[in-house]
Amino acid sequence: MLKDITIGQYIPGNSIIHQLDPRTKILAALIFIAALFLVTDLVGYTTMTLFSVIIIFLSRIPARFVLRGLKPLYYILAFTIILNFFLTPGRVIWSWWFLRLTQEGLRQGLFMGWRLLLLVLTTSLLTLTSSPIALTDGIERLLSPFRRIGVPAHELAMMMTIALRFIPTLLEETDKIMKAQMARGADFDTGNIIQRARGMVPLLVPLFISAFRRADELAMAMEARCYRGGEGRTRLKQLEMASRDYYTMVLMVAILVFAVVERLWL
Amino acid sequence: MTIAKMVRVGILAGMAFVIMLIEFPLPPFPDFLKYDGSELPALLGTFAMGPWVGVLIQLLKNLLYLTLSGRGNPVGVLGNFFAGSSMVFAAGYIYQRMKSKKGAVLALLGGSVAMGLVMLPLNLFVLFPLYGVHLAPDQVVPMMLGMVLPFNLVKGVLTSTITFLLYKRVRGFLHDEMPLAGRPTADEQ
Repeated sequence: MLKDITIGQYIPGNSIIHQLDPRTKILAALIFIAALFLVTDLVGYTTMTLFSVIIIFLSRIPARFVLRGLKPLYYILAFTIILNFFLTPGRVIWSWWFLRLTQEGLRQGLFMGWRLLLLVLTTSLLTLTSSPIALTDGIERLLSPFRRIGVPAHELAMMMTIALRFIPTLLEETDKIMKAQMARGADFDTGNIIQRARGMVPLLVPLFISAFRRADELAMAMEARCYRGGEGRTRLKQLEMASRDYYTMVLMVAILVFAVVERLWL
Repeated sequence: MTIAKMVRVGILAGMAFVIMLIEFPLPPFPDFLKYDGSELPALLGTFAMGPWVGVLIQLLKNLLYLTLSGRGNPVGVLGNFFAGSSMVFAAGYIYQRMKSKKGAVLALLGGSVAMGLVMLPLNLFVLFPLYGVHLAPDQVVPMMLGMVLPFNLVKGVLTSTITFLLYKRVRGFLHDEMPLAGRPTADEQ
């Protein structure tokens, strides 16, 4: 049933990658993604792949967990490769209507598929090695310099945390309401698309009302405890950058420079 | 932003994330174009709290999806954010000016159309190129009008239908702050 869906990817551990500050990991992932979009040829892609493999190795995450993250990708991967095969202009090998298989397309398709794989690998590595709460804290701290121009860093993180807190509750509640309505003869799985849409209503109405009720209760509890935003808040776990974080950032900048150089001159 | 609003947005985002996990393919379209009703909580949020709140729920939902689901593909998430945001923003903007049943219908229609229209240039100039695809002039029309536009319109209309059916029932709770705190839960009744 619904409540058995595994949510969250985090695999606890104490490898060097796990110990990195979440801010470092988020920035590193962003830089890696940028570099990934810059490189153009075999040398570039091989370097990026090698780098990811080393990170996976260092994180000591079993390979099957990393590969599992790629599974939902099959369709979009196949689609990307096929679209590139047929829609890239160049020397035509085979054609039908508006589809043309070109030599350039073959090359482009394989590279784009490769890029997509690395892209998803990077994001899943980030979420495999950092807990959602750590990531939320990281996002809050990364955004806090932008508070001055009106980015509500603390509020965003607080809303993320509230969502994280309520996702298991919501799943459980959905399950409960579904069973309750099925016991009353509700039907969620048959009929055409419009009938199914209508069928969702007896599930969604109680779900929304109970979610709103929970929200209002939580808000009232927070007000009663004088919650007043992020100003002057103290934390149990203070994020601190260590030397390994600075080394990582230097390495990432080096990768970005490599990608830029590769793009422009090689 | 008041605390009550902040908490509601958080919970609606959590709910949107949960709904996003229950995705299924829409028959005439290829398998990777999956439908999910995750704009629904954002639409109710946008009706209750204004167009920018809808966008905020979209942002949080996609951040959650990227970090929690294990299915997050950054390009897909980017596309979902802009698709959903254009829909909820347009819907919220119209509804803010016409708070009635008729307004809700117009808002949902406007939202679906806005999503369909925004996704055309976004796919053509941003998402397709991010997947490495640069369409030649004669390929633009079949891809865009044959696939992208109909998919987004069908998606918009489907989500709108469910939202409208739901809106009629929960409208009473949408506009007040904290009307429900302290009410008994279903099991306590």
